[in-house]
Amino acid sequence: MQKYLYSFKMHLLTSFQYRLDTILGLIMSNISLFITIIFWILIYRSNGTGVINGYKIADMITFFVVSSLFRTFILSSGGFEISSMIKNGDLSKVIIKPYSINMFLYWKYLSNALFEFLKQFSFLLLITPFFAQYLTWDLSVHSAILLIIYLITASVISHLIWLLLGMMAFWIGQAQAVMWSFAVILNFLSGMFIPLDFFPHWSVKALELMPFAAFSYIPAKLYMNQLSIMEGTYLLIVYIIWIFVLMALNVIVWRAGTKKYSAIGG
Amino acid sequence: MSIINVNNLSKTYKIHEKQEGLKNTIKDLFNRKYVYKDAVNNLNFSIEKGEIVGLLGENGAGKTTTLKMLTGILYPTSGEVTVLNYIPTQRKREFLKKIAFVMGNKSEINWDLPAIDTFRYQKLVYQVSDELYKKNIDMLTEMLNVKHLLNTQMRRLSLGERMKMELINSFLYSPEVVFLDEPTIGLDLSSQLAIRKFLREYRAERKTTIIITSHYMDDIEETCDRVILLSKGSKIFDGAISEISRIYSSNKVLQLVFDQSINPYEFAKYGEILEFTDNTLKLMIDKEQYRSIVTGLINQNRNLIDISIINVPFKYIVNQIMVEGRIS
Ligand SMILES: Nc1ncnc2c1ncn2[C@@H]1O[C@H](COP(=O)(O)OP(=O)(O)OP(=O)(O)O)[C@@H](O)[C@H]1O
Ligand SMILES: [Mg+2]
Repeated sequence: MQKYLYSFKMHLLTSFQYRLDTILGLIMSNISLFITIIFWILIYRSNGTGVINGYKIADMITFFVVSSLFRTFILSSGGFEISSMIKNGDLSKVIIKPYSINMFLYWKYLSNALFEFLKQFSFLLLITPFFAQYLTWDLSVHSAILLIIYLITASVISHLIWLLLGMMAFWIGQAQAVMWSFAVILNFLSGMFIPLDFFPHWSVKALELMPFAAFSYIPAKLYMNQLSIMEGTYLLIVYIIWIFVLMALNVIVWRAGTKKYSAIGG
Repeated sequence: MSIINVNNLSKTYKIHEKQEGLKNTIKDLFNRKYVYKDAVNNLNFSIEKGEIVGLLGENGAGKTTTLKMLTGILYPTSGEVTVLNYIPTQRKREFLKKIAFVMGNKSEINWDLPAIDTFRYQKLVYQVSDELYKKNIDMLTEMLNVKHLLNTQMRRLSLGERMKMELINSFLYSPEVVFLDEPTIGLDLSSQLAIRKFLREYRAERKTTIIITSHYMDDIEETCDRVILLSKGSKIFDGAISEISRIYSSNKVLQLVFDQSINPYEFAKYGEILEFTDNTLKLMIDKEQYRSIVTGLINQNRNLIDISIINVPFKYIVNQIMVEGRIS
């Protein structure tokens, strides 16, 4: 465990050294969030009712702001890193280390995520005064704790899913293009573009049981107190089961993949 | 019991043959064409504890492929390997802690940080005790003379200094078997010498088993006890360094220096011409005829200014074995 924590620390340090983005960088990375918010404000203006599908404008904006914050815990970089390591043969160096590559990548990108989260969070605090009227602020201690557990769960699930996708490189070499297409689907299923409860009722239930909902939709709902602690806990158990399923799949795919690995280079 | 056992080991790479053009690329998706490349063929050898073995062969002979199978990076296509009684591809943690693989052209150390940070991390990964860590770092930095560079960011070090750091990184946890794939590639003479000296001294002290590949024959001659020669994936020679020198023990080499340009072929009657430049010549002769040839040379060549006599160079012998044993 100590070794993973040390790598966590090492990466955190490197992040601080090299990734102190300017305000401009932050604005750029939040552009899609701004566009989404403006888009919804316009919709609400033209709609006139003030409520769409049970969401008031403040709910909608809160949904997108907090989910964009929570999305920093979607760890996809591990998958991309493993796929490029497979492709260019750099996996050879790590495959013979007495540690788990999954864990190594997890801690590395969790430290990145944490850094990113703090950055995003402070940025949001900075600009909040400009649209504070649109945000809801009401979080109980219980929900807050559950939320933290959710973010950890989301980071683990996303990491495992992306590793699986990244390991496609064992078979198809160029996995990145396929991974980017998957990213669009995953984003959609996690409620990045529209909250999942905009879908037909029966599909909402199914979508909530999918692991992708844990990425941002469910945590955002929890934050907005639109999900009871009970429901939240029930879904959490479902997602934890998903973690085990994904872990098993990872083991199987890793075993099969390393058999095919041809260790380019050297 | 040998430390390394290799039995009928073979590796065939399956390579997807890519066609040119969009139309063919699409065709490819449905009807993939593969070519097979036999990189290692039916290899057999075993290595004892404490041996330093040089794995030699031309580019593409299968050296790196063999090392990758010995370390568990690659699955063999057929045959068996055991290293320290483990099957490498199972990649058991206890096994991985006992081996090291240094690739001359792949860096392991974070370029943005000083080497010492990577070493501390390596210590945790390999669970090295504080005591052993301190002892090893002291010894290794002393032997390789890089103590003063430990806190310098890696990217600011020279190629030779970086290679020394890579070696420290791999020897840090006192591995029992070390695989070195071209550790001196691209290094200047003084770095090469330092690394050879290090390997000799380290082995003398720790009795570590070392397998090394290199295209610099001096590396091999000066560090190894034994060489295994590969050609097109098959073994063509396996024997002690002393055995190699013995092959040409009835020959000697004359190094001749003249004070003007010469036509080397005039000297072909004395023996075999190994090398020549404008005014120097290396001539391999029969040891028995040494006296008569030298007297003849001196009498007949007024412009001969220097003669020295040496044993047949190692690299020449290796080259001969390769030429004779080459598999076509
Ligand atoms: N990942 C790979 N996929 C397909 N073919 C490969 C791969 N790696 C090596 N080969 C082929 O296998 C043969 C042996 O390669 P290998 O790298 O083992 O040679 P080597 O003896 O280490 O050569 P060098 O001295 O150039 O390093 C070569 O013909 C090479 O083209
Ligand atoms: Mg090689």
